[in-house]
Amino acid sequence: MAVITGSRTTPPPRTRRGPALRARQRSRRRSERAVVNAVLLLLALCFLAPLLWLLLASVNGTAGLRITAPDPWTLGNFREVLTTDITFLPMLNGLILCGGATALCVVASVLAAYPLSRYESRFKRPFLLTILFATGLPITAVMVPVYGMFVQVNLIDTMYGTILFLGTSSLPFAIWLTKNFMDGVPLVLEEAAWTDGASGGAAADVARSDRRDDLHLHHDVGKLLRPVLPAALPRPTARVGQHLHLLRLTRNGAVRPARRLLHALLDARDHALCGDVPPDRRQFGARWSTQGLTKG
Amino acid sequence: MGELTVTTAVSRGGAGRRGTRPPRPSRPPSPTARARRSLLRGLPVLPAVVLLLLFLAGPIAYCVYYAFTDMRLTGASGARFVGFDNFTKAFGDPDFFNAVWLTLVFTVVSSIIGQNTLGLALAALLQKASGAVRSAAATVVLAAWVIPEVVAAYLLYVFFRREGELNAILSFLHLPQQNWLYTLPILAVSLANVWRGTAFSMLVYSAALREIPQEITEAAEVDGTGRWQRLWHITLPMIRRSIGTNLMLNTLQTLSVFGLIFVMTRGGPGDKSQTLPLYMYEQAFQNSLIGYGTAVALMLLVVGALFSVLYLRLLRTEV
Repeated sequence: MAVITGSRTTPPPRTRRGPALRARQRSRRRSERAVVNAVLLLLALCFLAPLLWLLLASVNGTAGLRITAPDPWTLGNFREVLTTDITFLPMLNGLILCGGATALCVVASVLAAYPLSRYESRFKRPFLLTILFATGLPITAVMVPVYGMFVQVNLIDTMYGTILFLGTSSLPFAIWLTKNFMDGVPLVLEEAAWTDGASGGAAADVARSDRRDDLHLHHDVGKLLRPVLPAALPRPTARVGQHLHLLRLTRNGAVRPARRLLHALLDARDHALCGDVPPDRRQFGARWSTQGLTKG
Repeated sequence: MGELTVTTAVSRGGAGRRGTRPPRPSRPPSPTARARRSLLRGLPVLPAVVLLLLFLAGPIAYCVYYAFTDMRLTGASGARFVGFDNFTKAFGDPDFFNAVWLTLVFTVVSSIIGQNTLGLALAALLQKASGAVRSAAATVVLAAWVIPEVVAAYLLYVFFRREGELNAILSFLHLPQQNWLYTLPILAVSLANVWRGTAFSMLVYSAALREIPQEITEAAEVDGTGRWQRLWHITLPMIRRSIGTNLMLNTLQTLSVFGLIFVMTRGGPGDKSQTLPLYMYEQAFQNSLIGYGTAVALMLLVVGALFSVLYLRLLRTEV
């Protein structure tokens, strides 16, 4: 930087005061960096404050709504909520829902992305445009019609119905991402595998191209999952947000996803709202939140 | 570019490409064979298409249909076709306009001003900060992003409560305190959304800023341009595509924020933080007016679709 400044000839005063200028620039840069660091730390503190409360309140025997040092320090809150009914069963249900939806989403998107990435077709462009368009639609808006539809086709209160909906709602983005990723996988790799596999017999053109899919999938499955999984899986933000849909899609006790936790959380909230805050409730909320945090 | 040549090469089938094997007589495939082949190639797309049709296009079609009926959750189960009644009702309903207004405020404050600007500022600061500070700050901001929505909402609810952390900080700084969730609920939920969503913009802009060639900023620096001039004349124009994309995605996301507000205020007190998704929810499920709620949902979908089309135009070159 400074070298460039020195070598420039146009502004004569600069060249004359070269070293002094450089020193000044250096010190200015240092103070600038200090300011940047300070501002950044301040911003980070703003972001940290709510999180800090969560961490501290969850190990505090007498947690209030403000950040205080744990007094007494305890894991009792965790012990209290780590029961089958409060945590494990809802977690299991949540796991089945998320796992099912993710598996569905990954399989469908990988299958769809391969031909979309490798073959030309006149349907390809419109299809991709539709997919991209769908990623932008506010899914919240279909909450009501999905409920109506599920009632009509009797999918309401079923695990698989919910899985199907959850999986599909993240499908457009997953397809889009996977397709772009596959575009980046060099064809050479694929061809090598394909020659090995294809040398066995003289299969028909179609059969071979089919087999090529398998080989490719086999070969790259690890690589593939890396970008697809984040798309399909936890953005837990998206997922748990959708548990709010589940409030609607599943209503009886038989199917208990993490929404029970959600209810408990809202419960804790309402108690707090009334000013009547049983400490266990509050810490329960905090505790569950920590769990969500670690899950994420 | 490379992709294009590759795909065409494969799609030509490849009689000539199989060097290791004796060349097959290169006969042009008969129309039926070709049709069969493209059908088989398209087969893997089928599950995705079926799922999307059933669980995405299906509900949207239902949405359009219900919006013109008087379907209810209770009472007579039959839904009558009522034409545009739901829409005229919405446009005559002050609550609906309240919801539209609050949605606008929420979107502008939290997405366009908040997340977007703060995200850019954070990205720019991160670029200049020293290593340890950078990773610490980035981690904290990202942590706010990855925690589940419900948890984030609960945390922020506690943060904004009268006895909560924000007022504690304000009293420490000798600033006036507020009962945020009662007096300014829409501001509270907007700030909450900023807290939660800024990381996305930060990531987008960090990537964009890294793309700016260093020579250009240096050249400008040598020419003696000030920091703000540099930002205005060089940085912003060079990342304008990212800005467009980011604004669009943020807006779309913010339009459909439901869980955050629902957990924090339930749209209240009264309807002071009732944005369109919450209004829709209340009408459909609490007032049992599925038809009416769906009409509102349809309008929300149309707005989302318009933004989505805009977004497509921005990304046009990438498809």
